Amino acid sequence: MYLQDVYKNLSPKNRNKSASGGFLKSNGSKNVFALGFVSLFTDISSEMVIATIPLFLTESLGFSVIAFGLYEGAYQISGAWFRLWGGTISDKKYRHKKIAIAGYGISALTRLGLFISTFITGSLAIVFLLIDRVGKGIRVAPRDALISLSVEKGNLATAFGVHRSLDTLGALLGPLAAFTLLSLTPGAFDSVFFVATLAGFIGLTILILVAQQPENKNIEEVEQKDSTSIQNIKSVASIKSIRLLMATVAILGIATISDSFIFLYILKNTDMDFKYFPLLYSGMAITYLTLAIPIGKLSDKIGRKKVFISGHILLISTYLILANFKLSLGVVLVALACLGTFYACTDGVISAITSGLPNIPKIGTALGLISMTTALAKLVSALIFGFIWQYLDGPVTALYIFSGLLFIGLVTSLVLIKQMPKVSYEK
Amino acid sequence: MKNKNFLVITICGFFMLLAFGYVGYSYNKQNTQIKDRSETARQRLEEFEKLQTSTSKKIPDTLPFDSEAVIEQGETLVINRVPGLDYGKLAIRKPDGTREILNNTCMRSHAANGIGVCIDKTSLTGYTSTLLNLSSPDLLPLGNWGTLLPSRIRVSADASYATTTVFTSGSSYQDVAGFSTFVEFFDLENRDNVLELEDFSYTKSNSRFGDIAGDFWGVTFTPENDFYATFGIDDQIEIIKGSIEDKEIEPTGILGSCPSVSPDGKTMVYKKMVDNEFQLVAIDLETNVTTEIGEISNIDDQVEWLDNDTILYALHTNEIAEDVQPEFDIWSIDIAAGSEPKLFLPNADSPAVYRVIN
Repeated sequence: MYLQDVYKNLSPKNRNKSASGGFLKSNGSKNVFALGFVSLFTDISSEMVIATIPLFLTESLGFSVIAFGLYEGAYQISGAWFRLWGGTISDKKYRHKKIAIAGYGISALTRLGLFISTFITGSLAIVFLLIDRVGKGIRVAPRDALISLSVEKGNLATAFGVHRSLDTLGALLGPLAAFTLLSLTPGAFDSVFFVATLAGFIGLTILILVAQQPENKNIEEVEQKDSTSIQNIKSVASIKSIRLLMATVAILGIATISDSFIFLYILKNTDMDFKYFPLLYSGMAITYLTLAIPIGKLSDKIGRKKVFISGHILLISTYLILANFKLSLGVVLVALACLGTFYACTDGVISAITSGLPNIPKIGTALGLISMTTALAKLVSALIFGFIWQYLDGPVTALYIFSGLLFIGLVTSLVLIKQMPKVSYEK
Repeated sequence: MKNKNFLVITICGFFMLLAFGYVGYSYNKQNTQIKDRSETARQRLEEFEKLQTSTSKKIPDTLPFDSEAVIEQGETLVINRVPGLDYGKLAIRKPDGTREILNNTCMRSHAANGIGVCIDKTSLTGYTSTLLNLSSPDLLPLGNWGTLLPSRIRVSADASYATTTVFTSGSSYQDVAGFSTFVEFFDLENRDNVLELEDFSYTKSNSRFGDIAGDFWGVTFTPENDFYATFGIDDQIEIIKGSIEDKEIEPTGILGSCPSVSPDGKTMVYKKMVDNEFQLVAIDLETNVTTEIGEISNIDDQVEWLDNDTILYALHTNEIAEDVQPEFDIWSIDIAAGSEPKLFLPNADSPAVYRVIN
């Protein structure tokens, strides 16, 4: 594959030509693969840090448990707003790639900061970890916008499937790399952070030199008005289909239990050997990364909303399996395979649904709005689930309540989705 | 454009080389440091052993010699902390202060009445507790179970129970991200019987026991196989008493942590917070009279008993603990007020003074 082919073929005319062909034959697919590898290396980098940071903060710094909890909270909340902001500023002057570079660049540089802080004072690390959140928040929407602009609308879900698959592969390799390094050179957090920095730089290099900003087919419509970010957000949020989609994502997101609770529940309720736990997480991730592409293709064929809804039906079954069965290794593996499939049916697919909506002039803002809504819904969900677990009837009741919530959410979102405009390439 | 392809590959290759180079450099640096520290530690051991043979030794009564047994009464099972290849291996301290290194690697260990328990890392994030038959010359493993990052471990005097305290990343939703601990009892005769201390019921109402945000850690057995343990919530830390048979716990009113009951069951040593520092205190369990022990350093683990008047505990050898293969020394001190600590064994920790009953 020569890069010149990528550039030559990325012009909007050529992009639209491949309408009837499959994703791999389409010209923008190379850009999607490039962005996939950017995410792969960046995820290796960030997951290396995420896997080691609790150890680093508590072992190396003597950080107290309470302080660590506060840090976690701040870490999660700061992300949501930056998702929207990154999306909306990238729509101005059509600079998705530039903002993505800024987002990935900030994160790569914070790794370098972490590396340096191992030589100065460990507490400096906290500052860099918070700045990293900014980078993470900013890059999501413009990157998804780049993916969506690279391919034909009929192939969107496949494209996001390819990207999410590579992204998840990185997330699997990161902790593996970190723990290998730490067993080779115990306590040497500087080498973990240094390798993470370089993995981030590799991702950044691919983004700058290989990935491309596709030209805009509706350039006049988008950039003639010089609007502010707030006006941008208001105008996109006033589009009916976006509102319906935000409501759907919010309702279903609130009824979705966060992974850490699912793992905690399994941890507390199983008689299996603890040493299998890292394996379980990997099992879920492997299911996700294997199924992301085929399910993406399938949803391009039979309809993304159908697949998105089916994913949530699978999620209800996961909760019911966990609540009803004694958690043997087999049952847990089935539940986690269901969870992995749920992610394959929903995570990339929702971005494909968003960017596939007709007449959305500002794609970054739209993706940012959906992404922010998801993040906020997750926070609310965690609060509700935690409250029921601790103060009401415990985790099993919480699982049943969330299955019920999810069912109500599904019925509601079916009604909402019905009102959304049909698009020609979707069945 | 081909040039651009070449550029991307060159830059990425350069970054990868840099990464491998740095890892190689760190690895090499650590190995050199360990070699140097190993040399220093060996010199210390030699000096210590010379000193031991020239002074009179206090050897507890021994049972008739058992040719098959790995360890004899009066010897102490420890974990070797001499940096280098034997770091982390089980070792036996002979009464003359010398050590015999065994082949099993452990992070924490304890032993009594023919049974040893050794917790070691067995996968990236998994740990295994292994039961060792101390009467067989090759330390025959009798069974094992998976666990989490170990913190404390004790075997009851008659070796009918073992107990572990392990760290878990959150036993309630509030500290999913933080650390908390939980305690389990393993019935060594009927090994399917595993009890979680959190499931025990409590007598003498004390509302704090019911709060799932609290943590248990650091169990010690009495000669009758009852136990004491630490219960903590926020910064309230107290010692509780419990019975395995009745699966019940009750408050003792003693504020402190990490209890350890003497072999005769008459005295308990624990850590008490005095002026924001931990102070080792001995309490007479019949009269409730307490004595402050003359060791001012902060001790991490529960103490072990050399005899009914002397305790053993490990401290970091150097003021600043090493990241890699940290070194510890085992010290002994008489629990009577005004006593001074003595070096019991350099470069070792996790002492278990070996006793046999019946």
